[in-house]
Amino acid sequence: MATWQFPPSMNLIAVGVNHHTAPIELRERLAFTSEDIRKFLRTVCDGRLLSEALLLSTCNRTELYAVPALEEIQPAHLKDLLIEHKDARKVVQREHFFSLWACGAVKHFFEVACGADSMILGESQILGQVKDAYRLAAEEKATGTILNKLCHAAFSVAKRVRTETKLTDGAISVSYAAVELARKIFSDLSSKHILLIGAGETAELAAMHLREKNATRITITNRTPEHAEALARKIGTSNIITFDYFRERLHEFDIVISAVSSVGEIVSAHTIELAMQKRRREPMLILDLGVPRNIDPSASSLYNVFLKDIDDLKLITEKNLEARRKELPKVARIIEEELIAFEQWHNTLQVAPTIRDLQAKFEAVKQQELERVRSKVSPEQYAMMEQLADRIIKKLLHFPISTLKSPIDNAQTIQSKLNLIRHIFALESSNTDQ
Amino acid sequence: MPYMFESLVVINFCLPWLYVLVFVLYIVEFFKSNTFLQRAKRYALAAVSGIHFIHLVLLTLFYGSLPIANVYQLLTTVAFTLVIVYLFIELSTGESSTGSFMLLAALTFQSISSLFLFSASPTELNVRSPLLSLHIITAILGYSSVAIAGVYSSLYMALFRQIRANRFGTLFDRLPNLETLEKMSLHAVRIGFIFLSFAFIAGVMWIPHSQGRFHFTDAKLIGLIMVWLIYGISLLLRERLGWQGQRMAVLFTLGFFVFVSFYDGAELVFTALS
Repeated sequence: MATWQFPPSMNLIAVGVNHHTAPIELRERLAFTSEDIRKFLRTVCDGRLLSEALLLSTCNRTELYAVPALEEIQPAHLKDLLIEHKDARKVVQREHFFSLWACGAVKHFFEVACGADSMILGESQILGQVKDAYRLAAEEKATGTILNKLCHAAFSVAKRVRTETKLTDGAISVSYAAVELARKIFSDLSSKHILLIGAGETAELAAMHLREKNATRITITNRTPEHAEALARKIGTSNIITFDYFRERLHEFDIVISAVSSVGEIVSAHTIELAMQKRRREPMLILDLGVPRNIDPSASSLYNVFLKDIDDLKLITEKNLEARRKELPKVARIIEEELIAFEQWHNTLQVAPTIRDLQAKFEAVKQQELERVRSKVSPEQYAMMEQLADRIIKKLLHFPISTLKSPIDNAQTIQSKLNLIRHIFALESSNTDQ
Repeated sequence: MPYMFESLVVINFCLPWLYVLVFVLYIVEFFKSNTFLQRAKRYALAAVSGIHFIHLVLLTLFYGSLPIANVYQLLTTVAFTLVIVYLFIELSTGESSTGSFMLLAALTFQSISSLFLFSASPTELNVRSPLLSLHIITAILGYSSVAIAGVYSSLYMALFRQIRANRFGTLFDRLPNLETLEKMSLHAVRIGFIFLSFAFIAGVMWIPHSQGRFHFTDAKLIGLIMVWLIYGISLLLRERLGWQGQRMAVLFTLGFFVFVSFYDGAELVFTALS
């Protein structure tokens, strides 16, 4: 009787560089584009080196999650693969990488997907990047049973974290905090007239966030009209006013966002006072995102003028970040629950060969016994006997199979159960495929 | 009905404590947002308002007239109206963050009512007079609006100051935006002004028929006239001069304090002296 080999425990390895392990100069050297990722996956998976692989590369991390095809494969090999693929041997060393195995790798992947490991705690962009990485790996046929399940479990973690905790709540960028503040003053941004002074990156981000909150009446003014037109096209507005003229029309706007860099003051308190008189002192929110400041700070004392600069908005982002940090214990609990579920699922994978062997054994006995009577009965009777035998086998196997698949088992209890079943039923096959 | 008075006494004693309980639920949920508490506090408020309704029915049956015959009966009715109006707002808008503040007003009125309900004369007012009944009912609706406007205006001022002072704490996180608070208080003032106008006219018309028990210098009437004037002037200033925001909130809150001082204050002093 051949000796049955117990299937190995979870053979998942994660290696990578991220903001915890390496500075940006090194992370940049290991950054992969989508095409790079495809090429890398084709290389490592076609070479029979890895059974499954997924490569996540963002501005803050490059991480490889892999199921090795050979037992000899160690994290050091995977690190070398990444370094060599990016030809970064002179700059990046193995020491800049982290290495995680089995549950450690799963836990880390969950933390990454839900934003708990992000540089900006709780940022939601990472989930999209994880989904993209999974899509690329799936398209390259680099994912299998383990990574497919891992990714879907990670998406589930991210969803639970988003709905059951406040890890992703509140603005943590200045431009988003500006919009959050606007929504605390005005009830409906779609009915408000908004003026964007400047057409740079900050103005664009603020405009995008405003659009997300249904703001449609956005007007842009900029020293360089071409830049204003380009931004207007991006955010889908046609309202542009010339830079020399916007002060005279200031009273028309409920929200003014100024993000002009390196020019200093462009709107005086007197100009705002005149605008407030024209608009009968209706509230006006002025967000000065420029450095140095674009708006005369003394305007903040005017009645119904809410003037906020970058430092004021940073108070909001810091408060929100602190609130997110307080959610980390809840996030850890969710990750732990999902980790246990994943481990249990993985344990059930180990029983599959025994279940197959058990079914095959019973099927063989059935065929053997039916053959003995085949010549003594009519074809109709034979078919009925076969059906009956199938039903009996199904019922007999139901309990042993459901016991083997029990989700509460750990690796040790599964091993003892498998040994017992294989011994009782004299299962000879040594199929250890998962 | 057997045990009617005993039931009244028990409910009268329990009501303020029940409001305290609901208030605590609302205030805890305000600071620690929680889905279970959010549901629990709403059910609790609905249950307490049901008990309050039974209280008003028992009062009506026991005294043989609507519970508007003295100030303490009026206060419990105003508290009930306030809670019902608030429940309507919460259920229709889903906005529950202002509940604790509204409940604080209702709790204050109910506590004062419960303390003195049985010590005051139950027939202080002849509520069988249609003119007086019109005056009292419109005054109740008017003062409920005053209380709502007062609460929302106070919250407006608090949030306004928090934003101006860059204090982005719990009030900033949980309260509705300034525009919504202003709209809610303005609606309450407009409705309240209409009811108070009717209350004022009916009250002035009823005084000659009051057989000398009430006169034009009565504290409640002066209070009503003052609140009516404050609201009237506020609405006029908004219409003519475009006043809004904090200035209006100050005027609306002033109206609320005048109402509280002239009713609760005057009656408390009167009760204490007698």
